[in-house]
Parts: sequence; structure tokens; C-alpha cells
Amino acid sequence: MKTFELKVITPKGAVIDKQVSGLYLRGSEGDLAIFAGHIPFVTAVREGKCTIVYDDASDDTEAEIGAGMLNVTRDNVTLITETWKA
Amino acid sequence: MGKDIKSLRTRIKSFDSTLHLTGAMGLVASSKMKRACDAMAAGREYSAAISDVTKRLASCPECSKSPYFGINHPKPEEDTEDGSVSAKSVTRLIVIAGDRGLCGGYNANIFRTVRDMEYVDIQPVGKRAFARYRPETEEELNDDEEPLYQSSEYYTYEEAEAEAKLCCEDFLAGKIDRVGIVYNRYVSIISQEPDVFWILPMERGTERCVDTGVFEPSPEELFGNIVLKYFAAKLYALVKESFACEVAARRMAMDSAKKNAQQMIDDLTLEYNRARQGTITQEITEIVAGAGK
Repeated sequence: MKTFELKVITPKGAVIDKQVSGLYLRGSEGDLAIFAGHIPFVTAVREGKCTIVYDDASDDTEAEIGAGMLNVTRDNVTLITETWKA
Repeated sequence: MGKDIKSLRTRIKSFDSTLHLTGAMGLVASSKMKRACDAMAAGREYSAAISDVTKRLASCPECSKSPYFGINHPKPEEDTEDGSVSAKSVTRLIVIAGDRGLCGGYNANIFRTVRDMEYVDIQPVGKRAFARYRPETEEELNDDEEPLYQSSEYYTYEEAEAEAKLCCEDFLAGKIDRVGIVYNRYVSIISQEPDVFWILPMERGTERCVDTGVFEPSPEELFGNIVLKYFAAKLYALVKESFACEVAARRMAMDSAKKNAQQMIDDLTLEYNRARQGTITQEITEIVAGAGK
């Protein structure tokens, strides 16, 4: 599966900076999933569960995130959130 | 002569304790340095990420009518070099100073920058800034149980958010039309410069963005939402940066204080030894003179 670069940034610094294959979270208009090759996209993120899926055999990362922003560009994806509890 | 020697010895002793004190404070500052720098880097990264999104939104045409660009406000004249503006604009300053003194010109530089500017009100961050701009609360400042000031060392993102909300509300209500943050810019470990960052009104995106993509919800709504976050993130990052400056400034100040104390001790020791030798020589001369009679 194709992967993309995901960066999760909180006020305490970057939590995740990896190649991942999928990101699931709750946007302002509803649940959404991001995969490689997504069109440029900006949305407000609601607090809730966030799941990150990797291409290799490593376990998915699940975390409780605070409100924030998701910024998808052609090259990478940045999730900006106030809190991150894995 | 004997009295002179005694007073010299006391002075040497007192400089010695100063040396110990400044040495200890320097060490404390050094140990805080790494943590402060890490916090500064993290804050910078967060605010840079938010500012990327903000720029992207600011350059999209739907957002150009946002009140955060200050269209409804009388436009202040262009900034001059020293940061002074036309008297018409109602400026609020957020002044970030330290919690403690003994850090060289760190606090004084900030206060000097503020003194040269025109402003209407001030939101202080850090105990020193509170003591200066909110003198009526000074008595309570000494009360350690419930601090009324916002500490610059333990500044949290939530505090920054509350401050951002207050400023944005006042800005939208037209009570103020400019918000600046006065902080110390971290140039290097030996150099920090006071600076002003104008956060509101927002700067318009200069480049026309072609590839803006999809926005959810609408760009206007997102923009209103993100200005608050941008403000909070920037303020948080600048407080962290200022704290790193404070620690670095204190380390430098303590280093030079240590050096000066050592220099004084060396000078006094020389003087002390001379005086001691003088007494001995005098005694010998007296004995020899007495024996020759």
C-alpha cells in the first residue's frame, strides 16, 4: 500500500513524524480517513479518537486527540492538535 | 596596619561567598538551559505548522473580507523603524518579561522597548512585568499561595489560549485595533534582542494561491477558527522563546559576575599579602634596630 508522510504536532513538539499508510479521525463535518494521494485539504479536527495505520506489520497507533487542524498538501499531511494521549 | 589586614580578610571572605552564590545560580541556569531550548523548539515547530495553514487560508479569496485583517478599523500608518505608530490606533501590548531578576539587561531591555512605544493597555506575562505594569497587585505578588501573575517559566498553552480569546474578542468588538507582543528574540546563547511581533491585524497573504484545495467547513469559518489558534500558538512560542532568553541571559550575567568576583578576590589577596608582608618587614626592622642599640 502507498504511504505518505504524516506529522503530528502539539505545543510540546512533534509526536509523530513517519511514513504511514492511513489516518482516521473526526473532522468538523464528520469522520474521515486520509490515504496517500489525497487532494489538498484543510479541515478543523474535533476532539476524539485518532487512528494511524502503518504499511509494515507494526501495530496501529491509537490516541485521544484534542481539537485542532488537519492540513493535507500534495507532499505531506500535518495534524496540528492541542493534546495527544496515546 | 593590623586593622587594615583584618578588614581586607573580611572583604575577601564576602567576595568568596558572592563567588559561590553566582556560581550556583549559573549552574542552575545551565541546567535549565536545555529544557528551555527544547520547549522553545517545540513551540516554534507548533506555531510554524499553524502559520503554514493560516497563510494558506489567508491567501484564498473567500477570506479576504475577514474582520481579522482590520478592514473595519482605521488603518494605522506604516510602522516606522522604532515601532511607533500614528496616535489614532489603539494598541494593546502583550509584554513578556521574566519572573526573576539577576539576568543582566533582560527585563530592562523589554521595559525600555515598551517605554518608547505608544500603547493603550498592557497585558503582562511574567512576575517582573506584572510588578511593573500592575503595581496595585504588587502586595499580592509576594503571596506565594495563589500567584496572581502568569509565570513565564510555567506558561501553559491554556493560558495562551485564554489570552488569545480575550484579545480576539476585543479586536472584533473594535476596542483595540492592533495587538503586539513584546518579547526577547533568541539570537544565540550569548545574544538576545528585544523585539515586537505584530499579531493583529492579520497579514494578508501576498502570494496568490493556486492550489488551495478543499476546505471543510467553509474557508471563512475555518479562518475565524484558526486565527485564535494562530494567536495562541504564536504567543505560546514567544513566551517559551523569551524564557530561553532569560535563562541564557542569566547564565551570561552569572558568568561575568563570577569572573568579576574572582578578579576582585585576586586583587584583594594581592593587597592583603602586601600588607601582611609589610607588617612582617616592619617588625623585623624594629627588632634589628632594637638589637643594634
